Amino acid sequence: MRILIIEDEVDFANALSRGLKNQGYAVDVAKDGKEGWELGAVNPYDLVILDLNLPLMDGLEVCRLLRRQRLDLLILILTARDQIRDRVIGLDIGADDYLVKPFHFEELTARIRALLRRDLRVREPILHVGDLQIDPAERIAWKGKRRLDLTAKEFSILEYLARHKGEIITSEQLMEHIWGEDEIDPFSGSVRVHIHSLRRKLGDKSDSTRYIETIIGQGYRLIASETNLA
Amino acid sequence: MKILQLQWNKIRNFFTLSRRLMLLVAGLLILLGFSQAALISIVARINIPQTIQEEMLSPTQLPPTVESTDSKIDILPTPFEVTDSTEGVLLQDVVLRQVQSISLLMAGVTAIIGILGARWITQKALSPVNRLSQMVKDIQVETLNQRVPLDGPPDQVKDLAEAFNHALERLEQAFEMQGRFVADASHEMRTPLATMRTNLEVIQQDPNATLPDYKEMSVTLIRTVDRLERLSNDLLLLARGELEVHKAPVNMGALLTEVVQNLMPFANENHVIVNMKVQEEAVVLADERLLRLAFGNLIDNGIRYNRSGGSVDITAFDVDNELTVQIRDTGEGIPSDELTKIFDRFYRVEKSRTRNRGGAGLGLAICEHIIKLHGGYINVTSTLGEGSIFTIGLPSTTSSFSDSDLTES
Repeated sequence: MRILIIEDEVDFANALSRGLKNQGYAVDVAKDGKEGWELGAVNPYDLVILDLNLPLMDGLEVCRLLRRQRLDLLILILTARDQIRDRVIGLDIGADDYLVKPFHFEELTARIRALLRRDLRVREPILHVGDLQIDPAERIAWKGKRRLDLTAKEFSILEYLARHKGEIITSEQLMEHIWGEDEIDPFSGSVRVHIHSLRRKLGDKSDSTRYIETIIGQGYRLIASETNLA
Repeated sequence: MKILQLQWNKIRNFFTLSRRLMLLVAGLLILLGFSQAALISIVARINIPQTIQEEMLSPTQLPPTVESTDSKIDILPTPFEVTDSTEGVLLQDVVLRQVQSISLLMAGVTAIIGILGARWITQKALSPVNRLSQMVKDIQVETLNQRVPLDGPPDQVKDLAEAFNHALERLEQAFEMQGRFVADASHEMRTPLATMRTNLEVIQQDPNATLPDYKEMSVTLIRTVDRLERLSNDLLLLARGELEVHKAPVNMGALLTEVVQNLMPFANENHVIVNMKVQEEAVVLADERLLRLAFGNLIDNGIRYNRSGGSVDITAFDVDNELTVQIRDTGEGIPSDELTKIFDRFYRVEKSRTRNRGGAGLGLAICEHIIKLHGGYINVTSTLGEGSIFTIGLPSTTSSFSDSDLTES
């Protein structure tokens, strides 16, 4: 899951970015409204955390523009403006949630997870694919009763594929949603490396695929085949 | 004394406006009634004797003629016959007494009707006032937007209602301003608080956080605490009233020189030249610390929002007991639509926001507040691309201090 933070308070944005990265999200930071709108318009973020008092372009304007461009983008307004009127305007202009500073970091991450669950395909807090169970809150995955020992990136890939189970996901999509702007590796091989290690941990072999399918020339697909249920 | 005071209070409390009005009207009517009675009796006393005597005269003259026509007439004149001068007075007394008693009775009736009428009139006259006071009583802090209805003729009650409405309007505006100020102030407080909490919570929940991470965070936290401290100082300063200003003679030349000297490193860093042309002997009665803060803010702004290689020119002249200080910079200038707002609390010129992080937009509001506390004024003119000129006027006291005093201070 890739998140864009639009926030002009550098000390705050850095802490937030670090905290969300620790939770396994790919995070970019924009320091003013204009930069936020430009980044948001170009990259396929899953969620935007938006401050309202921004230089160069007001937060509400950014929210309106982003919403007009992308209906599926999740927007969470995170601001020190606590007046009811501001909340109403923010939500009415297209934001999905509104949280007032200062807040508890735990609450913010819970709200982010709740927002990501709005995708109707994945309403349940714990994702099930075959005998795989993926818990985005705790960032733990199980295969049957065995807990998988995954790195942050591997978990993020598995989570992303699970949220889109049965769909073909290209390695570019994975790059865009799991790697932040500043950590994109020009050698896109890194996706392949992580997928390879993930498949190994899941027990997939090149001849007998049970979980992650490689569709040559297109991408990857997490499948819930009959064999998985066995 | 205490008992007397209590008695007096009791008496005073009895004489409410409606009772006073009632007593006055009733008293007036009673007075009128009785003076009318007195007047009638006096007029009667003066006029009646003459009338009676005339009437008396004609019958006494008549009897002989009547007597001649009818013998019965003899009986008739008897009262008249007895009426000599003494009997005439007796009759006059009877009539007068009757007139007096009737007029006294009328005066009494007038008094009773007067008292009842006065009661009714007072209640009637004061009822709009009662209605008004009931309406005003019903107005709460939350319903300050209500107004007293202004129907009815243009009389004292309407004046009163209008005065109330004006007062309500001012109150509402004051409350609104206060509310906005509190909202802005809390917004400015929440932002650094959020920075502190998020930094602390994120590092606390990070099992891999290292000592250098903690050290880095402590730097951030100190920076944030500094900012909160500055903000709370600024807010306290803005809440300060005139009574808390400790005024003493201040040599403005010395003060400005000191302020500029303190800002020299900052000016050099920004490649801005500061020129000063100050009339040395200018003295104002002021709180030195506050003035240093105000001029420090203004000159700091002049340097901060200048271009590299630009200049800040400071002039100070004392003319007719008014010290005029001008601070002229060669910065970008301020757009005319923002000029009126720059002294507003929490207002930040859009362009300054990207450069000056952490400022709450209180600097110029504080300058204005300080200058006004000293009975002065501050205004600004600006040309885009050329710079801005801030002009400050302060009442000076040059004449009241001798030169020797100045050199000592």
